[in-house]
Amino acid sequence: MKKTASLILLASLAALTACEPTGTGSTSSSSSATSSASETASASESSSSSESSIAMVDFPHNAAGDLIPGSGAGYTDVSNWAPGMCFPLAGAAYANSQVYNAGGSNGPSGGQCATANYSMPWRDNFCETRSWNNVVCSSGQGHQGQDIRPETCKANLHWAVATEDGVITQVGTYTVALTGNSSPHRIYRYLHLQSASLRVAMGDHVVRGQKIGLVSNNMGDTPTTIHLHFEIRVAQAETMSDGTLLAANSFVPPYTALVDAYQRKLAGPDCATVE
Amino acid sequence: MSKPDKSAVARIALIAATGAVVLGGGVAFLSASAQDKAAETTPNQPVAYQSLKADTVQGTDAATAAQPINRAVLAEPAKTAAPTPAARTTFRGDLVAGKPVLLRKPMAPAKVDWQAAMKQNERMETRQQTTKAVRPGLKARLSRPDLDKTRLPVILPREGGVVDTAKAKMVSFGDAYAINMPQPNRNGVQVTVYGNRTFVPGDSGAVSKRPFARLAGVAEDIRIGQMEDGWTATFTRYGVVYSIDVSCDSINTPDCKTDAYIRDVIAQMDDVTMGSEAQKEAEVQVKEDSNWLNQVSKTISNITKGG
Repeated sequence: MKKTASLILLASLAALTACEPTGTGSTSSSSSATSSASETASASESSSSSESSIAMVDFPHNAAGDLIPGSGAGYTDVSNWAPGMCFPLAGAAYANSQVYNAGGSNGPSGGQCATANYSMPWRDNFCETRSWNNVVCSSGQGHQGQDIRPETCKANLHWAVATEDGVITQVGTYTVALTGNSSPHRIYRYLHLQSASLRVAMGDHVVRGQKIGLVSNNMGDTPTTIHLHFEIRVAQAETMSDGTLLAANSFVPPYTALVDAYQRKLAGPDCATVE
Repeated sequence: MSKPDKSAVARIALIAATGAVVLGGGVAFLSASAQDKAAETTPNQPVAYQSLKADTVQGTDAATAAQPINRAVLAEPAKTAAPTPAARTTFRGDLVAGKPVLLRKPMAPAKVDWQAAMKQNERMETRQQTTKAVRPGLKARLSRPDLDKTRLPVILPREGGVVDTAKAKMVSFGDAYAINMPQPNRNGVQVTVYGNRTFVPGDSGAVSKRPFARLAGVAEDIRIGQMEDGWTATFTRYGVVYSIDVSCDSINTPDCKTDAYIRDVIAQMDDVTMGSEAQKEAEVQVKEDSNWLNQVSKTISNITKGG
């Protein structure tokens, strides 16, 4: 068992370092946490296909809600809003800001393919400064999803995949919405996919890990970097003082669920890619 | 009182056991020194982290997912969290500083106000009988199998309004549905309506603190917000949640530059229909309500008679 875990770790690290866009093979940053053995909380949910009670492998990432200083007020609720979901990209990935990193409008010098952008650790950018309403954010406004760079700084090469068994409920020229079959029927939205690569249409049934489209820098007539903007929306209900429920569909922070999904992905074939 | 259901008892036992394992597993995930090290992380440090070997824990019973008990078992009290984000505390997707994170799971399906939906349906049908329909209404064109398995009122835009329903397509999940309506005359605009009666419990203020709008002719508070590729609005009607997305292939499309179009769409989303499953549930509910009313009136009558 220990040997298996070690092999998985080595393979995972190899994969992480091999995906440097510059090909240097060195990871320029990482967290230095030393973890001890522990049992994992199950991330299972309602359907059998979403059951996941498998080993996890840690990787360098910053905490949920810990945004780049000066990029936004962040948020405090670090719940896992989509326990058991598959990671939305087929290969290795780097979750970080598109705006406050190199190549972004508020980032340091350097292009979007800068090594730092394709290095660990991950960094949350839900609630990053935007003018959009987002009650989860301390400021009441902010980014409504997580930006994720694919394995390399190359457009139209890396697949976005289905996070849950579900049905495609909207397809635009660069957007896809997937609604999960299982309660609470979360809406996952994938933005900046290459139009020509889309393998799904409205009404298509998809399974976990199924290819949806290639990650691109497509945002219609607005320029952006090569990344997947990934959102989760959930119908939330608040119990009022008179006992009634006040409900609304809300954007929720995907970062914790993404970390959880990536840890399972690194550990083994939790979500095999499906053609 | 009826006999306890064995499977329910087993489920509760499983949840309790899982909760115990999860909570136990959360103890001492990271030592204090490990957390300190994480806080010192700088972008240029070499790889120095070690992997975690994680043992497998059996998942909770699938059928228990709809029980709010998950919240009690796995809740990490938000109020005790640091006032700043979970910053500087190393965490995994399932554990934060050694404690299990709250896995947000759904409650049982919400109770639908079927009476209100049926009344609105009658109202709209009466209205439509007085107007000449150009083509069969959307109600008649929706996929029958999808409509029939939907266990909540399906709201629709009124015919001949600002939403073109010619290419409408519906998908149903039973307790939720979506209807996508591309707008061919609006340059890459799509309107998608989502209905859902399965909620995840939210914290205090999660909904009530969100800004809302009041629209003329619309009874509910509407929460409208801009998103990356358009606008979205959400509201509670008939006891369930509805959302309307106006998404655009170009965010420079006039309908996506302001919320004017989505406001019109909401104002005209006043039709409703129900499939066979919904009608069945509505009939049962109406019967129950009427029995309850009869019971109450009998009781009152007995009391007034001195019986």
